[in-house]
Amino acid sequence: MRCLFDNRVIAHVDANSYYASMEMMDDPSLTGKALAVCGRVEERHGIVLAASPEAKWFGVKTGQANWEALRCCPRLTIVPPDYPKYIYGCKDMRRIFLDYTPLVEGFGLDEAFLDITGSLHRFGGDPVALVQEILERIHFEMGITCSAGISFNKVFAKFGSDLAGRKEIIRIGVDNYQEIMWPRPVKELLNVGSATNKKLGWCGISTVGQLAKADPEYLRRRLGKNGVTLWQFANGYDKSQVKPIDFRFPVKSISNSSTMPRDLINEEDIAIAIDVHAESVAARLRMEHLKCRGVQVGLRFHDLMGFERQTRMGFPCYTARSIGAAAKRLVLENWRGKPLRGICVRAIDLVPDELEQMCLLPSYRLEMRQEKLEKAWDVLEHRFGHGVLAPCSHLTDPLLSSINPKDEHVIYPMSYM
Amino acid sequence: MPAREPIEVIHRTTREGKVVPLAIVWEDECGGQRDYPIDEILDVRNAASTKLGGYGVRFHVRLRRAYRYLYYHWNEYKWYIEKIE
Repeated sequence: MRCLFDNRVIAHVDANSYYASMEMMDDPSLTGKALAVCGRVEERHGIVLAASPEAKWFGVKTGQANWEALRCCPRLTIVPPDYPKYIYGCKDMRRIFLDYTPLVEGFGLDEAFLDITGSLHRFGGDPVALVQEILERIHFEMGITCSAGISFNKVFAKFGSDLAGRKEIIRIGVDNYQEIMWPRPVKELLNVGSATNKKLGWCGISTVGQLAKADPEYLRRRLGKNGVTLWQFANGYDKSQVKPIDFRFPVKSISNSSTMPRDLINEEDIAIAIDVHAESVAARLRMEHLKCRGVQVGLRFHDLMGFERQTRMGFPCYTARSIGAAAKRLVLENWRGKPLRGICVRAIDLVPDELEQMCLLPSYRLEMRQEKLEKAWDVLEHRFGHGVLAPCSHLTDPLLSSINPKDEHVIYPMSYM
Repeated sequence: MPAREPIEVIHRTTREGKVVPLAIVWEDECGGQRDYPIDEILDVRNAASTKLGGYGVRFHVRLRRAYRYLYYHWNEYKWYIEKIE
């Protein structure tokens, strides 16, 4: 049951421990050392973001706390992350990709899907030669190593590059995908996290091959819609296109989350934290000309467990006051007094701001006045910078209100779905 | 932070926006400045520097009888020089 889409050639290029390679490239004295790029402990972001191969050899893993990493490797060199540098490197990498194809879809900073079907004739139809040249150019021009996977769909290409070691290229074609993929554990497949892996385990599925041969109707019953999608992934029926470089994904939700500089222990702390996040979310909504019809909050406790709750708004809005009020209500209804480590405020169910149903409620008129006020605030912040205006309540706790989620937020890989 | 030292360079920017280095400005023993004209550019390409770190445009240049790599790091707008071995 193969189809027309199988004629595509898609590569997935993935920089090997990108943050660590960028640091080594910038400072050759670090080369060959056990190096880890870690967040700052003082800001309570102290986890390993990337580790060099030498550090990985000692057992240092991405996502470990700094002290755990130091226990694995006491002579570990730790450097703080430099996001502007990584974003710059990402742009330069994409510039090299664009010499080969306009269909370059970034997947996080250090990964990208490339549809190279149209450029193959320049390399005598050999995709490996083309990708080899890309990898060599990245190595020569930027000093970082990449691995790549080549296949006829995005999921297999990603699988290949995850499987490949440093500077390696793995081709997964129609002819050999069953040999390569099917014996591998199912958790290596894209979109199979620990929860899905456990569920699949209950169904007796532990390898990609077992997933591919399973009955899709059975998977739908056990895992819902996601089960069928995974079955399609395992069989190579993924038909999603590689988006052109300037493609912008439609905005589905806007959110800000932070690990707070200290734990939130009472209602006043939570109110300040939510206000700061709601202001940022509202300002970004206004920038995108979108209004939200729902608000979601996520709470994270000190043991890194947490939950999310959501509510609907009476009418679409994009003011910090309404979003903040809804978020505060949600938190206070669900919070049981356990100290909070992090908080997330998300605007969901977005609608364009010009298509609006008028409303006769008095709260709607108040909302209109608030909108004018906050738009004026936007202009002031744009001219004079963040923090030129702040609510009085923020003055009670300068530490909590000092964070600036709007300008400090980093973009994470878009979900594949 | 990397320990590389940027150097002073006199360069020309063409109408197309190309940057062409003309001379390197060096401080001599007496503290005065001296220009060392670049006699020839043999090669220009994007490259990473393995010795200094960083990457940018690499000019393979000749100053009298000395051959050097001259790097222009466009993300910092700075010039660096590297010995060829």
